[in-house]
Amino acid sequence: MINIYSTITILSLLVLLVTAVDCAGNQLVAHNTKRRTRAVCMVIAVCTVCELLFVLTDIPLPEGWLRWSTLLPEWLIRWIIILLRRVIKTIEFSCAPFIGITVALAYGDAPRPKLAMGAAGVHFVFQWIALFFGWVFRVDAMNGYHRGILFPVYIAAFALSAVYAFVAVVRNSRHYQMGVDTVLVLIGIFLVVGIGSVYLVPGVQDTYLCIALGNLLVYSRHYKIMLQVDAVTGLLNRRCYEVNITNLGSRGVILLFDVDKFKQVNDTYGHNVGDICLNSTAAILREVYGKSGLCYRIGGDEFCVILSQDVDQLETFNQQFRDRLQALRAEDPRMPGLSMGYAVYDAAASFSVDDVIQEADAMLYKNKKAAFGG
Amino acid sequence: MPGLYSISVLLTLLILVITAADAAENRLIARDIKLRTIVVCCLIAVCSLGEWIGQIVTGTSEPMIWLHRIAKVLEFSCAPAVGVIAAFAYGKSVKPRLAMGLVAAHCIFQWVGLFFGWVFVVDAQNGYHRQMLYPVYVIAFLGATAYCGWCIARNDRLFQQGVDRVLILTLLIVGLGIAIQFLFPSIRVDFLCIAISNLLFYIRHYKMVLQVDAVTGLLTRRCYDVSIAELESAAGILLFDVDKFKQVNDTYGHSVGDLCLRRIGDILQQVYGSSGCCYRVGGDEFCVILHRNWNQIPALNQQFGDAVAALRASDSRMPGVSVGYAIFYPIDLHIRNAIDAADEMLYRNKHGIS
Repeated sequence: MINIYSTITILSLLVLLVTAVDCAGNQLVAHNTKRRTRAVCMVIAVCTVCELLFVLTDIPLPEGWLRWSTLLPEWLIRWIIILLRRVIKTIEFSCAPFIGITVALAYGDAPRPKLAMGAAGVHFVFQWIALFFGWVFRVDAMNGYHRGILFPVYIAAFALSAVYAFVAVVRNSRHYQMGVDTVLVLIGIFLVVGIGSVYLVPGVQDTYLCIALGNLLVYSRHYKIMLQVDAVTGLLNRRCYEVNITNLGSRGVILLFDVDKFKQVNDTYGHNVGDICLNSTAAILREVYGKSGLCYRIGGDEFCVILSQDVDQLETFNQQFRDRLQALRAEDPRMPGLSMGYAVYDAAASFSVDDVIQEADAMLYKNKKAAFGG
Repeated sequence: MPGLYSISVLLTLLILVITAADAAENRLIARDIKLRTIVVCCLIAVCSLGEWIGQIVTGTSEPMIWLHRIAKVLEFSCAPAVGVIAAFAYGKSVKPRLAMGLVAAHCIFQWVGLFFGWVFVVDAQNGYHRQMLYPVYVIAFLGATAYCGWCIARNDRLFQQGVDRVLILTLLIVGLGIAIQFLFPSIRVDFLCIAISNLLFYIRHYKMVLQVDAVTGLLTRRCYDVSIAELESAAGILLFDVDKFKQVNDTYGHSVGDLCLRRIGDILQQVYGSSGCCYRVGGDEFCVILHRNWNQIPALNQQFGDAVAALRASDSRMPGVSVGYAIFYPIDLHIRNAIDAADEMLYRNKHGIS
């Protein structure tokens, strides 16, 4: 039974295996992501195998399967084969919507995960009840497959879970200040073309190869994002800063921040508390400046914001930032202060990046000196 | 299923576009790796399209015969280049000029062979037939693939990865594609397999490069955070701090500072590398997580201390290193407590000396 279809199925399973093995040994992703990636691969593998079995057993009954009729009565063989095929198809249909949801949980920032899991659970139960009534599909006495009246329910569940996964991945991407980039759009196109072709070109079955590859792509993209952010604060890291600083837009502001006496916090309260302080600072930065620019952690206790939009609102942002920080320090006396300096750049009045940074740094230094009296 | 074949070619091309786009946008890899990755993608695309054109024009009339021939020659002449350029992109290449020379010679052979029907002929019914010298192509192709695998394995050793399961599985995918191609010529998944493994090699390469710190070659802080969070069995946690590193930087400059970090990284790997993983966790802080032999820590530390003393004797600019450690037992201790205990011991040791 070697044909292009079964070869492609084997290939899909290999891709899933590679993804799962790679993730298990990946020192760059968190434990939760690992577990969930493994779950995604398992669910896709189950669906893939079910589809393969269903296609391989798609043989008209009298010629293909009744050669064993010497051993068993014909009606029994017929009954077993048809039951088996119905169960296989139901496993595939009931598991497929879980793919999108587990993908969302593994690589995305999934909104309302319990609701989504609940909905997939209801669909799961629906499929198994429908099996007995032939609502979604039925396998006739000649082993022929026919869609039922409620087949669109399955399509809707599957499509919804795919949309849910996409939304979650985009949300996560936004959280880490990446947005929707070319690669994400291309992965979307890849999936739409691959899965769409099943409905447009008769005889084509490549859904799960596409899903397996899409999963691999989203997984690798996820940990690429993790590589671009700082482990403690979740802001973009120094490496990103160095690349981005070389291609600034036409007009914007570079803001530099430095935690005051951070060494003292570490020495007095321990590194744990130090990390918490950095985290809270990062959260405020992201909240205040995140919508109009990118926030980086560029050193142990140094942060940078490159503001590319809303430059005229700079003072409002800075005031907001000071207020938020003050509120936090009132709440938690261990929280250190922050000194800040900034400089505006404008391509119209040509500038050099080094000069702008130096200007911001000088202002930071002046502010720090003023705050601590020299 | 001709429809499925055409769709699989389309998917192959899309995978290649995604790989190339990702490489072009990737801020984490060097420029020459980017370029080579994109070239590999283009070559695979040419091969895949060549094969596809050959398939769909089979059985059509006269003008298409030349299209068929040219598509096939393009496929055959580019295929060995895929392995060689991939070796340059993701591996540590051996004799790159010789490899490129062989690829070029094979390319010329294919184009000359086209006129004499050495490798294949396309008959008047536009049917394709292998000829006497077809094995030359097979050898070139397999040779290039083996070269690629070898170069990648060499690179792995450089990054202390060893031949891992992901590499074996990726090679298995290439092997599957090639084996199916030769055993069942009517099933054409070879370039789909190659496109997928190219994607896997690319992903694997930048992951590997990024797991290590650029200065010392040790694993990075991020790897450390993940390993610590996942520690489930007993292990030795050792923390190291370079004494007065700021003074070294200020007195001799950052290049000497980097040099001494690299030397310390080398010593760490020599002493502890065979029993655990070494990390650079801060500017002048290192950590070793010992998964094995954690009852021999005092002896290992003695070795480490001797090596550092020897280094300092040979180069007076080299600073000392303080160490502290604790043994983590998952049953009765939180990992944070073990780290704190190691940190405390490090602190005591440091102030004992200075």
